[in-house]
Amino acid sequence: MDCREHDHRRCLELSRRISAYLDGELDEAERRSVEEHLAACLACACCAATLKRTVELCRRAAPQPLPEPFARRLDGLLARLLAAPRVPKRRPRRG
Amino acid sequence: MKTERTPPAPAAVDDDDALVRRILAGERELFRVLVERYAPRLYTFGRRMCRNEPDAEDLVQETLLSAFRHLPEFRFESKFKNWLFRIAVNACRKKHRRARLAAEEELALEDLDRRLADEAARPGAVPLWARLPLERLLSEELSAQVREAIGSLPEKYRVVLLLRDIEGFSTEETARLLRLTPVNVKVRLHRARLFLRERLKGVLEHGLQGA
Repeated sequence: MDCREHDHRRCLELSRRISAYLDGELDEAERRSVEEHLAACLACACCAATLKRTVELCRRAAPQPLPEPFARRLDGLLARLLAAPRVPKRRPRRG
Repeated sequence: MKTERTPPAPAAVDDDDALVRRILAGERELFRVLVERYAPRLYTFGRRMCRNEPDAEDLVQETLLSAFRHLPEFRFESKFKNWLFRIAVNACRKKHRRARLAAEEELALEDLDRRLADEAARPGAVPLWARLPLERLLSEELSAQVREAIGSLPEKYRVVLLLRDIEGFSTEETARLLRLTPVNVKVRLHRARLFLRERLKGVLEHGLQGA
């Protein structure tokens, strides 16, 4: 079907579920309905593809390494911390 | 007759748990392993949350110091990583309160919807940047642009995107970390991604011209 022919009112409603679709968080029926729409609507397929690529780019954006001077300061702090006597317990912190 | 019984699975067991148990049993030096493992991730999180180097360094230091001091109170009810990031998120919020940052901005769904409606009215092919193999796009320059785009997200969206898409926490874990509902996490994540997509679209379409 040419995507220009179908009812685009559904597109906005579907677009709100695209992230959940990409994350595999939709149930089977919802997933099927999104996939049927994506197969018929170029605009939504384009939205899904570009959103998926955006997430991939975020995940692959290089982490920022610790600056060398800070890594040295952290090491010094750690050495002092580990050499110090045990710190008495404070209020509980759930974890 | 003897019946074999499967032992119950221990809750949230990972390598970190074993390390923490040994640290608590007296091998304090092993805390260095946790620092080596998490300091770079906390720093990356801090740089993207605080948007400057000194605050990111403070965040890492405060988080690790607090984790060390409170480690005897860790109850193994969640993963160590989740506990550590809870401390980092709280330190970050405290820092932002102190700095009296501007009131939280919203990413209006209507604006994002309008752009989607425009796209739907003029559908085109999936652009090259979403079709090329990912490896062909990646570069240090693009990474810097992605970091900048993430940095331009309002804080409440940025933190959700960082925890979900960068740190890999699940929706439920992120909701617990931020004390939000899972639905709220999903809505914020989706808006953050749409916002970033708009920012990156311009960069990538321009950058790939003539590719």
